[in-house]
Amino acid sequence: MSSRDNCETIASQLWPYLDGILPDSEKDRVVSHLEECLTCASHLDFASSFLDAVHKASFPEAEFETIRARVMRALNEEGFAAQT
Amino acid sequence: MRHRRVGFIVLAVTIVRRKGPLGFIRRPPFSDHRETSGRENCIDPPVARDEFPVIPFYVDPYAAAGMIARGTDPIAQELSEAGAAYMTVRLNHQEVPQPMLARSASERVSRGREGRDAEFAAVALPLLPSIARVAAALTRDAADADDLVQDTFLQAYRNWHAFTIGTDCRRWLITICRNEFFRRRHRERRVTAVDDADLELLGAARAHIEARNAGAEEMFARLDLGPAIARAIADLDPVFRSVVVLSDIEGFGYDEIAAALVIPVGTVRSRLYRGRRKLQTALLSYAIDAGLRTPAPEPARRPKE
Repeated sequence: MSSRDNCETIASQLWPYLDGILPDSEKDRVVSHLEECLTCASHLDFASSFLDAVHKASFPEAEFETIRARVMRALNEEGFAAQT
Repeated sequence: MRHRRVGFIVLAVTIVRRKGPLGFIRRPPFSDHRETSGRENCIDPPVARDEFPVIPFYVDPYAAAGMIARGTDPIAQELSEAGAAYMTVRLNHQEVPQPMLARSASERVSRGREGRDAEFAAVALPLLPSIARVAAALTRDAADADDLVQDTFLQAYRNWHAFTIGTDCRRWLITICRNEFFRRRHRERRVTAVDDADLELLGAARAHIEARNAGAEEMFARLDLGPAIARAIADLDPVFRSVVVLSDIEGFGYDEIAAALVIPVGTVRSRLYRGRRKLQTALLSYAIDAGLRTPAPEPARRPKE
């Protein structure tokens, strides 16, 4: 297998690898390739920073105030009476 | 005349035998579509109303399947953020946070409405932002999402006795939300591109190459993309948004998303990878518009001879 083919194979496993769904044998193959190949390692870094950014993306609390008030009104009509 | 009557009776009996007594009513409007077009072209395989496996929300499907939350239990975090006291108990060889609000079902009942309300306020209500995001991911517009959130919390409150303290309340609420969503959803024929995870797999590398070519490789390190990401997610087609939100914001695994949305795992994968690629493309445009473009390095010039 040429190294280019190998890079393509690894690139196609980046999402499954980052999502932790690769079986151990394939995971080992990806890890050992990433240790040697700077290009693929940089692809992985980029993909990983993207996922971090999405996970941390701020959804302003204010966005939920309207719906929170609405839910509280509906719950109060239902008899809910706790302090929140 | 007699022949006509017999003909009518035979026709009626045939319909009732083939479709049941409410044949005309129960027949889903897209049943023809299912017979005539290939499933592979349909991103959201149409499912007849009666075939929807509504998960009873008094059974936590994830706990039942032994899929106890991995790593830090979000419920502990939510409880402490909500200022609720909790203790940790060992359950199925795992430390599970347990609110110190009622120790047993009988105690919960004897505490009556006040205890129930306090428990609901401490455990369920802090999860509202999470449920609001899931509802927004499932529905097509904000008004529908708000209705869905309200109905989810009403159902949860009415059936709070069915929630087992110590299990994952967020998943319980999401199950209710999903059931409510399917109950009210007008099933539409939605035919879009072929779901093919393999085509999307290279997206992880391609997006990086595109960003690098645009000189925006450092976009995640150098820009606060939070607001842009929230907007880009809101702009995604609901088909992709639901999967991306459940995976990349709410942290569900492929199997859990497949169960929540009632789609095959392969479809989860293809939608997720495609959704991520769409997000990356949107973020790259944002980064370029924001002026993040490092000038491409000058190509090395050969010294003139």
